[in-house]
Amino acid sequence: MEALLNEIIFLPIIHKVPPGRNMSSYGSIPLTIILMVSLVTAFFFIYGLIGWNVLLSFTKSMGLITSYELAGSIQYMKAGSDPVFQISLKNNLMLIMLFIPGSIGLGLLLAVLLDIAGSKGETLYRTIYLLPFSLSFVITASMWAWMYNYSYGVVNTLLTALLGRAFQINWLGDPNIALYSVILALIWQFSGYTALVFLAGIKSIPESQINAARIDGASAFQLYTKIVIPQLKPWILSAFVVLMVFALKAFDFIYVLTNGGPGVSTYVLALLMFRRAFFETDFPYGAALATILFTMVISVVVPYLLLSSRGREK
Amino acid sequence: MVNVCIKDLCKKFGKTEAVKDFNLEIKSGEFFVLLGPSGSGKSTVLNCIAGVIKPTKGEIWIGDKLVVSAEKGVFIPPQERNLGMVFQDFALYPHMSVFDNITFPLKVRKFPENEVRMRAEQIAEILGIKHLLNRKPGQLSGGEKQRVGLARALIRNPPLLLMDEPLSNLDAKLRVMMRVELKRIQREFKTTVVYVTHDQVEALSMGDRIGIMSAGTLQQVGEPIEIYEKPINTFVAGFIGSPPMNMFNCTLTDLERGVLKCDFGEYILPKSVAEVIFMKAVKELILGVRPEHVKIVSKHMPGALEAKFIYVEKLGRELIAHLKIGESKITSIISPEVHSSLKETVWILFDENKIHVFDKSSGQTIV
Amino acid sequence: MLNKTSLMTYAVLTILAFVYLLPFWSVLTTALKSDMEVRMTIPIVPPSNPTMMPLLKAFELMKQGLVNSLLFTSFATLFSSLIGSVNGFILSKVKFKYSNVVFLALSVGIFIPYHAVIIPLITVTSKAGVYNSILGMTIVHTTYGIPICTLFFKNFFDELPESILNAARIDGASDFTIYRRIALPLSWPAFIITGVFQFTSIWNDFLFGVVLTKGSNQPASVVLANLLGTTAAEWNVQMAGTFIYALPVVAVYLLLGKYLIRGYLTGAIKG
Repeated sequence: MEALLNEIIFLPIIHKVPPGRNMSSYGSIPLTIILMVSLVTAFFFIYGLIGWNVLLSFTKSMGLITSYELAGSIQYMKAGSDPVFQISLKNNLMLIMLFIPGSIGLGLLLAVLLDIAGSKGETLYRTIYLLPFSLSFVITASMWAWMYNYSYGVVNTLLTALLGRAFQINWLGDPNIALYSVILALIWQFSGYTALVFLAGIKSIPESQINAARIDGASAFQLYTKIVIPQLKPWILSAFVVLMVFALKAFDFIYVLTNGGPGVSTYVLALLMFRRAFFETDFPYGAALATILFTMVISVVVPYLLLSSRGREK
Repeated sequence: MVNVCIKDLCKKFGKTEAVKDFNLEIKSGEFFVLLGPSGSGKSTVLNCIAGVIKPTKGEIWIGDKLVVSAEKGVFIPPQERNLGMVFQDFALYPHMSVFDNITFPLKVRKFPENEVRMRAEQIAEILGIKHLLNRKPGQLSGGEKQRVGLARALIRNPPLLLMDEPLSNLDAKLRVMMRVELKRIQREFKTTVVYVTHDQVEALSMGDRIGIMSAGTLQQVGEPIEIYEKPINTFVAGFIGSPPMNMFNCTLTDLERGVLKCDFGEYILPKSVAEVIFMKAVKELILGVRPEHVKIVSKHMPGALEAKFIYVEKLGRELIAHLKIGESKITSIISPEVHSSLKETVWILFDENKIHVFDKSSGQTIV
Repeated sequence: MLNKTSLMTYAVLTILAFVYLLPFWSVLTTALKSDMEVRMTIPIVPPSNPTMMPLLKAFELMKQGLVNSLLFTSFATLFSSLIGSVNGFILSKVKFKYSNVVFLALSVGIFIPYHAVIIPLITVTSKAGVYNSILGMTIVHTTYGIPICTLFFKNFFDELPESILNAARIDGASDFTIYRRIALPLSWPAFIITGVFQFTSIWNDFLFGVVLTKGSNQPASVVLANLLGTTAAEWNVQMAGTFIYALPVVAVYLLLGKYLIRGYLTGAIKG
């Protein structure tokens, strides 16, 4: 081994350092180019186009004819006097008030049940509950259009079988009911997601804490209400933000399921924007509605992002 | 073999000063240990030498090459500093085989295939990892990973090797083995080593010289024996040695005779010590004496202090006696034979040639 | 083994599972029934005489849309994942002045309602000559996928110990070498998570498709939505179409579900 050592020691010490090279030569030009180009493109498509859209909403454009002469807030006044705008806003609010608590409540219930069931059942049931969330809104809307079908749909068929013909409900045809039907179906689609988030939250609580509570004599009910659920706050907050953003920008599902109908009873802001911009080809008004929608979403998202990025730094 | 020279080094992370006014000359071929508690800034110094972080102020020379100077705007990236580094978590590339791990430094420098293979075989032979070359890091034990990390750092035969707590992830038995092994490797490769640790046993047993850090500043630099016997201040005195040095707050009551009024009672300083203190005219003092210099006797003798056993830690070969003198506690190292001959009340004597006296206000040594 | 509580739990979970699966079951049964049987039987009952006709008919109607969707979904998934991997690497491990601000600004893009960009997007794609084309759809989906893909990869690289990168730097590797030889091969789990997430969300998209494409360039989602409007009476064909369009995502979900779940959770927690 001594011989070996001598050999390696007498190999020339490597000094392959070309003089005058600085740090930048170890940075990477190809990677930097990809970063720069993709960031510029992404920022243009995000902030550039949002700015463009805002600008458009303040111009004298008419329908499809674009003009960049400023016209003040005419389009926003238009929204103020558009009765459907008010209905849409009210419906978004209904989504916030019913769809969010519904999804969070059902999600919590599912998460707790899955946690009690333990590893054996968990994977199978979680897979089932989360399946709707992974699918396109076009698919779920199409499914529920059929589920809610007055004459042949599963829901009414079951109601008839269980309670009799008198209990049939015109789920999508009755303007007083349609919005609730939409919300119910959305809770079905989102509760698996909230359950997933909350279950991850439950799993993040150290086992020793749960055992300590058990030894301290907490019942299963107390364990969840006093120890587990209070610690899920950050998880509930993040689910809340995701649901809130969805409740504000909901579009595809309602477009396919009811297209705002019957009448205008299930219009929401995003749907109104789409109809005004692309069916009535009133681009500036559509741009104004989109700006309102964007402002609402951003006032939820930005505080949350700042909060969570500050939390991460700590 | 190169020397490393660090001048006026400062590093701030945000508002916190991790390292301040750090000056150090590491000699060529030396095994230098930077020792300090966690958060003392020792790893920051090492990372500045490596070039993975940039200092806020000051400069570092490796041999005759200025590798970084905040003032002159010089920064040579780690790729060009021609050094090897061993990490606390080993930092092996998990997706590569052992062979690919240790030859990575050669491959990125486009060494010819046959030289890569030859050097890999040599280094694997030296470190006893030849049988592991085809394995992935995930299949290795802690000690094996350590050797692979070492092989990767040494394959270019760098004149400077940096080690950041390399033994702290190993179990106790392996750590003792690796201490000997690392010293052997350093001697055989004739490389300068800068070794960072919080473990004083590693520092005392391996270091040619030790630099002790606390709160971002270098407290004392010296050979292990020097640091142990002549600690420059109370921090070093308390940090080095296990069990730690006994220290007592004292007030000088009689300048001429050198009488100290301590927590535990009166103590008369030896003449040589008293003279020095007389010259310095410091009144508030800290008296320090290492446990092995506290002698226990069964009968009263002149200058002895009465003490009572609190309890005795049995560490096999030797015992650590915890005693009470007056209102203070003191530890002493004694042999089992001595212990069996003692009753509950005993008398203790300090070895007069081995006592330490510090200025209480500055913490600096006086004698 | 099973005590009373867990028996109850399983009972409730099973009942709920049936409720959750009911719409899927009714899609399946209806898609296999003849037009006649759809009207005669309740939708929960399996077909007495299963027929492939609705599936064949729906496939014929949706063929082009499915090909379109498959093309731009695959390309956009690939491109956005690759870009996200580079961006995530730089923003996590190389960093530059204000890189945290850049990352935060990019993250906002994950949440924006696409309605806020859709009108100018028509102008932009028209001017660029990619309006109503598969290329246009690929570009749009790639671009709007950059924020989430960057987030996935940044999160992944944040977990990679700094010491590995420092070791590589000391070993002499440049940032590009570190990316290509260390970061890229180590990040395959992030590629699966990102790929699966992007594939399903681009495949599921409706808004870009309905606004930016026409006729034979429309994606499957738009074709299926149109089907509902035009063939309202033919529920078996409608459900067959739903089944066909859902199939790729369901397959991905069942095969790579655990990665998709990781994606959903990343989006949720990091936001």
